[in-house]
This record gives sequence, C-alpha cells and structure tokens, in this order.
Amino acid sequence: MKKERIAKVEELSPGESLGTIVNGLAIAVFNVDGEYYAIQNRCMHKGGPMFKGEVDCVDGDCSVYCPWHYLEFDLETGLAPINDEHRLRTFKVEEEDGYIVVTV
Amino acid sequence: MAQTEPEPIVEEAKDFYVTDVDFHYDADLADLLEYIENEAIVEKLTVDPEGKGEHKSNLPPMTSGHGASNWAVGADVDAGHTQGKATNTDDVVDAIREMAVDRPILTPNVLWLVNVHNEVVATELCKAYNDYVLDTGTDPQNDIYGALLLPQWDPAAAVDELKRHGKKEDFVTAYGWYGNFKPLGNAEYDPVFEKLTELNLPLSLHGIQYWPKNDLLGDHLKTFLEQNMLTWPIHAMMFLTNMLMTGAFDKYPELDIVILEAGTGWIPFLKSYLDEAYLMYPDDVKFTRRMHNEDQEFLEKKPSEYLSDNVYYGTQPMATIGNSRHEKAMFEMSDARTNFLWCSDWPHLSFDVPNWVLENRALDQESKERILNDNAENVFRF
Repeated sequence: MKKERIAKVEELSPGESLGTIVNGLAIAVFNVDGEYYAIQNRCMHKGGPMFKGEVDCVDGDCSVYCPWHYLEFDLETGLAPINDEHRLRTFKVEEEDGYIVVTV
Repeated sequence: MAQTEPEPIVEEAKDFYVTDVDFHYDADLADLLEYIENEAIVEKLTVDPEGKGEHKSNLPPMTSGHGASNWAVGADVDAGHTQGKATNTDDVVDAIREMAVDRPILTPNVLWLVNVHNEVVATELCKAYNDYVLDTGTDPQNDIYGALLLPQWDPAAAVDELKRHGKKEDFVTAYGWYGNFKPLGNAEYDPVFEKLTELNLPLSLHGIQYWPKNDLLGDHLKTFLEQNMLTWPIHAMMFLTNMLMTGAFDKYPELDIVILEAGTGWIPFLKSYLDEAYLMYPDDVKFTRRMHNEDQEFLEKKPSEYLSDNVYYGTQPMATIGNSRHEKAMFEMSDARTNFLWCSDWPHLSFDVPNWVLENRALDQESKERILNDNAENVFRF
C-alpha cells in the first residue's frame, strides 16, 4: 500500500472535487461537507470523468452521478444501485499533516 | 504530490481531424419568432403573461413523447441538455473543444417540430430555424457547418427551402427525421430528391421522440427504452426499406442518406434479411407508385447493395461489444470502414465522445481516420 498526498486541505473545500493520478490510477476525490471520498475516476460505462459528477446525499448516504451518462455510484462502496456487477474502485482517503492523503 | 488528472478524451485525439456529423444546436421558440415575418403566427406563438389556462401555452398542438427521457434518468436532469446548450458560435466552439472535435455539423435541437400538427406553422418555424442557425451558428471560415432543416411534411415547401438556402456553403446536408409519419419512399418526394441530387446535398435523417398512441402496442409501451431507444432503429429500418423497395435509389442513384442516432448493430441484419426476403417476395415492387411510373419491374440491385451504396450511418449511440473479434466482424458486415460517420449527439444524455474509435482494437489506423472524418468528407458537401 502506498500513501500519496494529493492536495493541501485548503485546496479542496466542502462541495469541491478534483481528479488526480496516483500510481497510474485515475482517482476522483470529493469533499462532501468535510467528509472525504476517493473513487475510481473513470466511469466503467464509457470512461466519463467522475470527479466532475454531481454528488447527492440522502440520510448520510452519498452518491455521485457520472457527468456523461448519469450512472449513479455509491461514494462509500463504489457500487451502482442498478446492478451489483457495476462497481468503481474506492480508496482510503484522509487528512494528514494538513494534506489530503490517498492510500492506493 | 500526485499528478494532475488528464482530460477524459484520450490523448490520441490530437492526432486526428474529427468531424462530428450530429452536434445539436438549440433554438428556443422565442429565438425563432424573430425570424418569422407572418405577424399572426408570431402573435399566436407569443406567450401572453396575462393569459389563463391553455392560453398561457405558446407551443402549437402536437403529438409527442417529449419529456419521456427525463423520466428514465436516475438523476434530476434535463436529458436533452446534460452537456450544455449551444445557441451561438462561441457555445459551439467551447463544446467541441472539450470533445476534441474539429468540425461540427450543427443539427437542429428542435426535435418537437415534426410533431406539430399544423403544417403552416410548422413550416414557418422550420424556415425560421434555418435563418436563425445561419445568423447565429454556422461559420464555414472556422469549420462550423450546418444542416438545412426541411419541412418534410410538405414536399413542395421542402423544395422551396432547398431553393432558398441549398446553395449556401454553410449547409453541407439537408436534414429531416425518420419516425412514425409518412415515409420518404412516397413518390411525392421525388422533386425533393431531384433537388438534393442537383445540389449535391445528402439527406440526414434523425430519430424523433414520438410515443405511438391509439394503437394496441403503442398504448402499452411504458418505458423510454421501448418508446425511443428501440423504436428509432426500427423506424430507421422502415424508412430505408420503404425508400429502396419503392425504387427511390434506382431513380436517384446519386442520392445519399445519412441515418443518425439509430446505432449500428442492426445493419448486418437488415442487409441479409432483406436480400433473403426479396428473393421470395419480389412481385409487388412493380406496383409501388414510383416503380409503376418508371415502368420498372424489379429493383436494379439487391437491397443490401443500396444499404452500402446510398446509405451512411452516424455511429451514435455506439453500443460496443467488448469482444474485438466479434466487433471486427460486425464492423466488416456493416461497411464501417467506408460508411460509418462518427457523431456525438451533443448535448443529449446518450452522447458519445470519440474515445470508442480511438481506443478500438478492432479498427486499424485508416478506418479510424475514415470514421472520424474522411467518410464525412466524402458524403457531405464541404
């Protein structure tokens, strides 16, 4: 497992997201009301950039919609509610020494 | 620190010139009214803020399944504009840059127009759209071209529109719709085909939202996938079959049809199915109006040959197969190398980016160049 700093904390405010590459993997990182989520940044459908997707939270469960064709994925598990076979990888993400750090 | 994320369009795109043959250009009703001279029509279509009930509505009466797509999307979005809305040249430039497109053909995003029941009003709106896109959208000097919308419900008016704008370099194709209305094999469209071939313009045909009603099958369709996604290729097949079985391509061998937004998987099926069926049932062809008028007994070619010689296929929505061997066979059977035209359908929900061509292992370099641009160069009047 490798930890990688992807941004300073102040560079990703609540409601913002970014796309990054760690160890060759495209990863989308979201700050949802102070809670961080990291998910594969290529939609498994046609490769849409997930970090540009709209986030929607219901009762604390947050999803992101691919901005290209609006497939929905759970930010915590990466699962698409439409079908268990459709899933994006998720990654551990946390705040550490003033940086947002993703573990790959 | 981690690397910055690259753009979602694959990098190889910069090595190709990309033409998008179905980039939708928007027009609000208010935009079109500025281009209509008939005051009574303008007044009728103008919203009266003091109006009550149905008088508040300024859209003319129509039958359509419009809005059905919004019901079928799992998010709160306008499925017709998920990627944006282009109403001027700057909007177009911003959008094509994001998709690595070099040359768009602006196609009308007024898909409701063909469902308008009053043909006088519909024709005025159609003419207004053409004036509007010329005025605000096309820019041939910067490789932004347009499709000339034809009032296909009125063949004489369609010819008039071709006379009015058909020679302008802004327009590289004429444009209409396939759907649940009069198919174009009808001999009354001959003057339109005559004019199109004279002007060296292909006719692009796009699917249209129409929810069939008052028939047993249509009344019981419940989902957008049935009503739209499946009926479009079916309607495209019916329009093409109607045209070739009535001898339209025999009388006008130079006529090119471009089918948009029907996908491509049905092409091999239609070719072999019609060839087989025609061998068994050829004897009513001579009684169709055009064939009868021309005193022609049989088609000059096999049905599949017209589908290769006279028809080109916009690729969106591309349902890739995920198996290179199967995909390669499908591409060969569909004449993809010579007859496929990449298109985006921007800004609709089902839009495509060029990635599926650029990353496709079943396509060689020349096929990619052809699908992304060269075939369009051959078909459209650039």
